[in-house]
Amino acid sequence: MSRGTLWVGLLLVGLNAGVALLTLFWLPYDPTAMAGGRLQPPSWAHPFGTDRLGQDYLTKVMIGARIALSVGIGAAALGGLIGTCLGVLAAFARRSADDGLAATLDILIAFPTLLLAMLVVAASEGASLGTAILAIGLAMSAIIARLVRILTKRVLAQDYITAARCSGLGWGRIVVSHVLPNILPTVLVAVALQFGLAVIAEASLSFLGLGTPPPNASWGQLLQQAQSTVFRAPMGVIAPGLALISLVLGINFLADGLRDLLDAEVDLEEAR
Amino acid sequence: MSLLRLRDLTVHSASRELVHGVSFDLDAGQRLGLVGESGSGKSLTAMSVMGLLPPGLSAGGSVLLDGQQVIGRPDRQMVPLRGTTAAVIFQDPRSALDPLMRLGDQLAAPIRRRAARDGRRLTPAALRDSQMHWLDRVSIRDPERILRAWPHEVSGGQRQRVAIAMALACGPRLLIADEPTTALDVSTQAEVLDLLDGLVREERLALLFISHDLPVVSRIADRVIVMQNGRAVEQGDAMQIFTAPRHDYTSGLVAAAQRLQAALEDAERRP
Ligand SMILES: Nc1ncnc2c1ncn2[C@@H]1O[C@H](COP(=O)(O)OP(=O)(O)OP(=O)(O)O)[C@@H](O)[C@H]1O
Ligand SMILES: [Mg+2]
Repeated sequence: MSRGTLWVGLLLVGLNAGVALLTLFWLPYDPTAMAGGRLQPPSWAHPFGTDRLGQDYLTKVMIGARIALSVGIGAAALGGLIGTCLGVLAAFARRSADDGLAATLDILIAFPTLLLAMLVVAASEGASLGTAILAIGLAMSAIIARLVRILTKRVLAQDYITAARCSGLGWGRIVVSHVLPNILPTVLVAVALQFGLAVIAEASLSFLGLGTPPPNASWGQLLQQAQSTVFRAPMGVIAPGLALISLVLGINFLADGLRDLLDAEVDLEEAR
Repeated sequence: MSLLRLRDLTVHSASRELVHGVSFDLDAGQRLGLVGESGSGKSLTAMSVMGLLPPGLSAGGSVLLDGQQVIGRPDRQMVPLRGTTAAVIFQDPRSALDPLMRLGDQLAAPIRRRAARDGRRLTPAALRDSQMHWLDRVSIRDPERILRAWPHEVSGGQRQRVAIAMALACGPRLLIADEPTTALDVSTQAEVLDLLDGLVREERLALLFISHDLPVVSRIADRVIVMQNGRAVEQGDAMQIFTAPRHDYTSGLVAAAQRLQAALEDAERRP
């Protein structure tokens, strides 16, 4: 059954990734050009209909997949990297420094991602793909760091670390050859779960107008724009909504399957 | 000069003293046994020698390892001594080996380290030869399989043999064995003990052998220190301690060992 989840996850994520890659080379229509009448229902020419500017909606949803995945991958990479480094450092830090770091992480985690994003956007030259990645990645790194800190401490208390120290390995070598490999499976699963949350966070940011600016509109922005015309053109909400659900669900299935596969015991409380 | 000289070693936690002034000397080629019940401070004494007390504990007094003061020495300066001057074998080889690293890779680490120390370049072929050599030294029958295996894929006895090979591969002069056979079944225990006995003789190592089992210790060590509640209560020749114990606590240990021996023989005589 768990293998089944993994496959469904792979299929859904693969579908989204395929569409995202495709948009780099080919789009059904020019996303900035008027392709037909305004707010038309689905037809053969426009499977998802058109929006209120008369632009092809399928094209927009396809571009949204690219934005969602870029932000997800960027934030996961950033958060995973910073979080792992910080977490390992915290685990090694002296008692007082460690307590300080732990408290900082807890505050950062309690701090809403959206508020952090607004700060990042305010501090830079307006919203862009980069600010979204930075804001979500930073928020994620605090969560990963807290997990990595605990995992690292747990590994450091193991006998094989003492044995490795007795055989004359320095701390640097111990981290590279014993700590990282042993925490990696769990961290991978946590990052995968965070990936799904990052996609949702990006949609929320865009919904509030803090995401990528048009014409590279993300799903969140499409949802926001379509909400006023939801009764005249329900496809405007259904299409990006389903796309978002398919990707997030796919990622979560993938993470669950991965966890069973790696037999990693992620404390769900810890990972969220 | 002694390879290892302890003078009035103390170990304390924040609240109390756990080891109260242990002193002894250990020269090259000598074998010293450390016996005592659980919690008597044997492991803490051993780990003080490596400068690796658990976090929160600190040592006082003097520990000279190959003439170098260990106590108060910064960790960075301890690293070069570990594994090369003194190496440790632990009680439970299951937990003392990294579960996510193949045994071959774990054995390669001390071999590489020794080559780096001697300034030799280690070709992959030479590394492999060396791995095979050490597995042969610890009498492992199917070295090819063991090199590729994960720790959980081999038996407890085989794991402990690999751990011994790892400890010796770096060429230490002092071997500290902290209850190396306690986690093994009785017949494997005897095998590993014989193996250790032979290796220590052939490599001309000094041995610090820790156990709560007096008969085992008197079999492998020439000299024995009996510890109780963090104190060395009796020190002497292995035979003498076993046949003519001076301290009440030691007599108790001997009597217990003899009772166990009698019970075992009794059980054997019955069908
Ligand atoms: N990290 C620690 N913090 C506080 N006390 C400790 C710590 N480690 C050991 N002790 C205490 O120090 C004493 C000696 O411990 P030690 O591990 O040296 O005993 P041992 O003789 O090796 O026993 P065993 O045969 O069970 O291994 C024990 O009373 C133990 O509770
Ligand atoms: Mg012990």
